[in-house]
Order: sequence, then structure tokens, then C-alpha cells
Amino acid sequence: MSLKSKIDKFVGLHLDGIQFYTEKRKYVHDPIWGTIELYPHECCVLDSPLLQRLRQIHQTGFVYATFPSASHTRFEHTIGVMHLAGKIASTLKERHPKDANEKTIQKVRLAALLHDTGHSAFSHTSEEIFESRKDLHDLLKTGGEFQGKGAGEVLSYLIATSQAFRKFFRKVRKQYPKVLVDVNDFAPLILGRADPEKRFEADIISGPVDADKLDYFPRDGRASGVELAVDIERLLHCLSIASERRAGKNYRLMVVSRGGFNAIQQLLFARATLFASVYHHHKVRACDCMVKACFEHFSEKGMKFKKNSVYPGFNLKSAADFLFLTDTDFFGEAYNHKCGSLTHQLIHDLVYRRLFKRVLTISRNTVRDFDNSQQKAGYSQFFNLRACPEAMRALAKKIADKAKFGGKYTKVWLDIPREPSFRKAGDSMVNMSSRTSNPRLMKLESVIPIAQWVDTYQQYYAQSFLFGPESVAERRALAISALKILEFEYGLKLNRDAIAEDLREFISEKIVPA
Amino acid sequence: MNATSNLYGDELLSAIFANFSSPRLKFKTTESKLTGVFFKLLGQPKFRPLAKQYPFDVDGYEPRSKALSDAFQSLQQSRMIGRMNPDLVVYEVSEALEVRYQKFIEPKLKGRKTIVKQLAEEVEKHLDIVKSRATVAPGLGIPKNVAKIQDR
Repeated sequence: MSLKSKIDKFVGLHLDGIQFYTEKRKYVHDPIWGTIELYPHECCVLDSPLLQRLRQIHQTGFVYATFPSASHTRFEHTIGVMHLAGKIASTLKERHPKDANEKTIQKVRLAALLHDTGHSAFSHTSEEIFESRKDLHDLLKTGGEFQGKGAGEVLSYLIATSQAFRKFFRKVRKQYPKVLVDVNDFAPLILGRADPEKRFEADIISGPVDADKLDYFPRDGRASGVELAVDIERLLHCLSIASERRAGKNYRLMVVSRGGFNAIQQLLFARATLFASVYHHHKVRACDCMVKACFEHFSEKGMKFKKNSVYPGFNLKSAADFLFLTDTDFFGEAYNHKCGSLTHQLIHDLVYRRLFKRVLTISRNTVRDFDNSQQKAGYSQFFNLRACPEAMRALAKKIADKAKFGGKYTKVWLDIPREPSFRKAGDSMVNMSSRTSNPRLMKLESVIPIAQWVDTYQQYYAQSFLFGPESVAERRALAISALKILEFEYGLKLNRDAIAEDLREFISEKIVPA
Repeated sequence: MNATSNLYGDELLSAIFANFSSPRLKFKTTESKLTGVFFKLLGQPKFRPLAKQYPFDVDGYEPRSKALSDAFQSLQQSRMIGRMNPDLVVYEVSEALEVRYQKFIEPKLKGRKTIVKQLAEEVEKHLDIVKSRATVAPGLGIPKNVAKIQDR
């Protein structure tokens, strides 16, 4: 069965028997944006199990294990994005009635509602796993139907364009004649696709300053307790539409006026702060590795997830299988396995926060004599492993073997997180003229290199980890093994700061000099 | 298995920078300009065997490649290429990149050396080369530490 057919089946199961019960608008109270209005047709989509499942997926994966209040979900983020997308479209409609109209507002709100439906358990944690599944990977690679796109957004698009969703939406349109748009109008926006003369619509959903980013910065910051100042209201006031010719086509783009520079700057620093202190916190990364360990164990043993009286179980070989998983399903899986089994133990270790522990931290600050070209070269070659999860995993297993772990690899993980790129923000088009009627467009990066500054700042925070089990003796063995392997394979020598604090006293200065 | 299956994105980019006409070359670019250059060149039939490294998203106002962006970031992160203040648009290929290329990447290229060299020549033509006093002594083809590696 193809990926598209499997997704169609998934959508069908999650839209079966939906009742169109409401003729009234609904109001949702949101901690970030206040009162949010939902139109009846949007309520039908939002109330379907297809969207309700997002209540069971944490917005920021395991961030809540370290920042306890970050327990918000994809569901509230989705509503927030829909609200902001509509707000941006309304602003543009007011300023450019020939470009944006009521249809624009409906389109972007529906695209926003569906933009995260492709998420699976723990959001981006599982995305790192399912993006390499062959059926999806073939679509993302060069020459594929969705080359260069993100795994999650492709799944969301395939959900929105599935036969089952089209059928459902036809019924919605029949029930609510005020709905002016169809699936083909809003689904492409999820992928950032739009005709050149309607490019601004895609910019609202998937652009340098899109509704998604404008919602998740303040939401994730507030939920994790990290103070971030982003003047979004000001930014909204600085948005307009302008023309730019490229490759013989006339693009109508969403642009930011000079008054919005400060807000963009705040946005970029907010993002850098969130990555450095929240998303890439070592405990959060340890949790991610534990989830990967669980999926790896399932795949090695040929076991099926969610095998119960309703479902036949999923072997997770297809990216579509992951759509049947939410955080709740993942945790519930523990009870399908005997107490004391590895699966039960791994899942419960996550539930009760008995996490993998750091063995080594590898960064430019923990490489001995980083100014030496040989060391830099070795570090770079090691860092390059992040492009290939299989090679990274193979190195972790090699380290475990040398530490005499007897083939028990489950708790030995190497983690080289991908850094965020700020390029997209640098690509924002800004209007250097004080008038919207006669704009002078430039790329933000050519006016002020904010994105480059933040990029450079961010690079100081990049670090990789070797995680291991709780036992000090086992982690000491892993540390010594890793130090030897990194030196042998990459010529990389680490300093004592690389070693986890609780292990340092057990590793002599003969092995790693002070 | 395809021809580039074991060559990662940042290794290919390193190989290209290492094959520029002179070591420690300085060039002025932005990530979007560099993406545009690669998009144009990798679309040519002769460079197609290398195109798999960087899938391009062509739906936007200009092409993007997350893989190329990651590779470019990765080289900056590990100081293989440095950026100069205050504009951060002038990059310099480091001595360490030459070391990395010779020690780790060149042996992986095998039969692809010629095509990589051709791509490097083309990329260089499209970049805005910054002329400055040589950071390598005139007449000395490669930095000292690279020569040491070759001697070994």
C-alpha cells in the first residue's frame, strides 16, 4: 500500500461519522491571544478526531520534563496559528483590498488549522525518525514529488489532500454555503506553495515571518517560563503587500516596513534563546534519545506498536504508521509489555523521569586546543555525523562495544542536534520606502545583518552529547572508550570540561590532562 | 547504491571549498546567494550526480535547500569557514578545512575528484572573490601544516 493510500485510510478512520451540529460561532480563550473566534465550518474541522488528536501531542516534545509548565500541546498552538493567520490576512485585506479578500482569510485560517496534523508523538522528536522512512524519504529527496520540504509539512499536506478529507470537506461546504474555498485552494499553502500573484498567502503560512513562528515563540516562551519580548502587534501593523519581478514573473509578496525591524530582531533573538536554553537543553535531548531507543528496540525485535483490540498494531516501517501515535499512545504502550521488559522499563523511565545521563559534552569549548587546525578538522568531521543518523548510531555502538557493554546498546546514545537556521528571516522582504504605494524592496539581510548576527551567536551554543545509563562505573567506561575512539578516528582530543561533572574524579589526569 | 551515497552534504561543500583555485580564499556571499549558485549549477546535466546531496525546494520566491543550509552552517560552526565582522558576509576558507579535506574527505571522493573540481571551479566563478593580501606566503602552494600531512 502506498504512503498516500495509508494516509487516506488514517484520515478516513479519523473523520468517520462526524456530525455537522453547529450553526454558531464559537469562542476559545487563549492565554496568549485572548478570545479567539471560530466559524462554524472551522468548528467542524477542529472538533474532528483528526484535530483533536493534537491535544495528545506536546508542542515541545519533552521540554516539559525540564521546564515543568511547558505541557502545552499542538492543539492550542494550532488554534493560535489559525487566529494569527486570519489576523494577518485581515490586516492585508484592509490595506490591499484588490489582493486580499474574504477568500484569503478563509484559505489561510483553514491551512493553519491543518498545518500540524502531520505531527506524531512528541512532535519533532518522532519527525526525526519518520522522515527517514523510505516511503516518505523517496518523496523528499532530489527528484521526489516534495523535494526539499519538511517531513511534517508533507504529511500534513497529504492529510489535507487525501480523498477522505476532500469528501469530508465537500460535506462541510454543502452544509455551510458561506465557505468560499476548497481543499485545492488552501492545502498548497501548508507546503508554501502559491501562485506568484498570491505569494503573500503562502508567506502567511510558511514564510520568513509566518503565523506559525509568531505563535510558537511567545507560546513556548511563556509555557517554559523564559521571558521573551516580541512586539507582535507592532509587526502586524508593519505588514503589507508589494510586487517584485523575478524570472519573468510578478510576485505579490508580504513585506515588512522599516517600523517592523525591531520586532523582527526581537523575534530572532527569541528564537535563538529558545533553542539555546530550552529546545536543546541536555535533559530534553536525553529524553529524545530515550524515545529513539524505544523505537529502535521495537524495530529490532520486529514488534508492533499499539497492538490492541481496536488496532492490528503498527510496525512503524511507513511514515504513515506514526500518524496513529500520540504521546498518550506512546506512554500507554508500557502496559502492552510485561513489567520488567525493556519496553516497559524505557517508557516508565521517561514517565518517571529516570533519564539517560551525560557522559561527554563535545563542543568547541571542550576540544583541547581548538585553535589547532588538526583539532578543528577532526571536530568538523565528527560534527558532520549529524547529517547521517545511522552513522551517528554506529559510532555510539562502537563506543559501547569498546566499553564492553556486551551488545547492550539501548542506553548508549550520541546526540548531535541540528542547529536552527536564521536564513529564512534574513530573506524577509522589507520596504525601505515610507510609502506602501511606492515601495522600495530589499532583503532584510542586505539592509541589516540581523539574521547573520543571530546565526553567529547561536553557533557558540552548539554542543553534542554522549549519553549513557545512570551507573557511574558504566558511564566512566563509556567516557574512556569514547575518548579513545574520538582520538583514533578523528584525531580529536577533548579537555576535562567534556567529561560529565560526576565522572571527572574517576578519570585520571593521565587520561585527560587538566 | 548511488554514487554519492557515503558523501555527506558538508563533506561535498568542504571538498568544493578545498578545491578553489587558491587556499584561504575569501569570498563575499550570503546563504541565499550561495543557494542560488548551487541551484543553477547542480541543475546542469554534468553535475547531476552530485545533485542528490542537496534537494531544493523550488516553490518559493527563490530556491531553498535545507541540506545545503545545514552543510553551510555546519562548516561555520566547526570553523572550517570564518565570517568577518561587521557585515558577516565575507567568508574565509580556513587552513583547517584544507586539513580536513586531505585527511578525511579526499579519500572518500574516489572517482569523483574531477567532477568535484569542475564544480568548485564553477562555484568560484559565481562568487564575489575578495582580494586581500595573501594569507599564505606567495609561491607556497599550500599552508605548512597541510604539507606536513602530505609528507606523512
